Amino acid sequence: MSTHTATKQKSSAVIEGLQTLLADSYALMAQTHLAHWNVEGPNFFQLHTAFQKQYEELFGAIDEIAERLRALDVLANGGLKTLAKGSRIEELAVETTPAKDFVAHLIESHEIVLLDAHSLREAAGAADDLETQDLIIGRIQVHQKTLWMLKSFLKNL
Amino acid sequence: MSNCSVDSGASSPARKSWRSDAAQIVEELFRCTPPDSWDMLLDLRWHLLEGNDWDETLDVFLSCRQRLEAEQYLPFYRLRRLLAESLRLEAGRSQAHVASLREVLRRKHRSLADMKRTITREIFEHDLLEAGVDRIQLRVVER
Repeated sequence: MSTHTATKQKSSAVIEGLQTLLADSYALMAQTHLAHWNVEGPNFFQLHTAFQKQYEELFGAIDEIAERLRALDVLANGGLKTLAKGSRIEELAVETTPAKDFVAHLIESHEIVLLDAHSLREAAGAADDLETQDLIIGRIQVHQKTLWMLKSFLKNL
Repeated sequence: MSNCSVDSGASSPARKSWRSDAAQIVEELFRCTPPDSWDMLLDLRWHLLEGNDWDETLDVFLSCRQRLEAEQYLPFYRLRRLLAESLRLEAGRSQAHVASLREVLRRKHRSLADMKRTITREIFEHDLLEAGVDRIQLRVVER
């Protein structure tokens, strides 16, 4: 009796999507870290702490994304230069920046990562890669929640 | 004296794209701002899409911003970013002492005249021009 192990064909769209998500998530983490260091003003303590929680969460997530690539038997992109080249997220100039501008910039950066995640969720679904899809659905939830929090901060109530 | 940007005559896709992106942000503001601000927003939208005098466009933007930014910080941040990426301040031989448009737009200027007064003063303080204030021709141009 032969045993048959079903193997899914690797989807290039899924691989490319994971690499893009990895690069953009890494860039977002770096921008969040920059905001954590350089934010100033009356809301310093709450933003400094909030940004730290966010970049720590992103650090863990990046590892999961990279290890998903490895589980698919693909080398994960890495290194600052390589990841920066693969990212669409703009870097803020290192200069005195209003706290609200840090928040707005991170909102725009999270929106880019969310777009990546939505595309990848569709690609994983089309490739019947439910494990990758599961990972990405979790990422979408985190980014949506972070966006809600950041946008709430900008409201003038 | 009206200021006209240098126009190549042909609208490149990139040029059209930032202008329509900016207009789209303004269009979204109609849904969440009071009706008495809509005339001003329509004006801004027209300048962004069709205008060719960037001084005027910036002036309208600053008026809208002064009125609405407190309640609509994110859309005005996005507009500032697009304007700073697509336009620049030109000051001739005093260029070295002019801050980038990105830095200038961070300040809460009420109008273009207010902005130009501040920048002119900064140039004066750097260059120590005695009677040269009126020789500084500051204008907004497209990159």
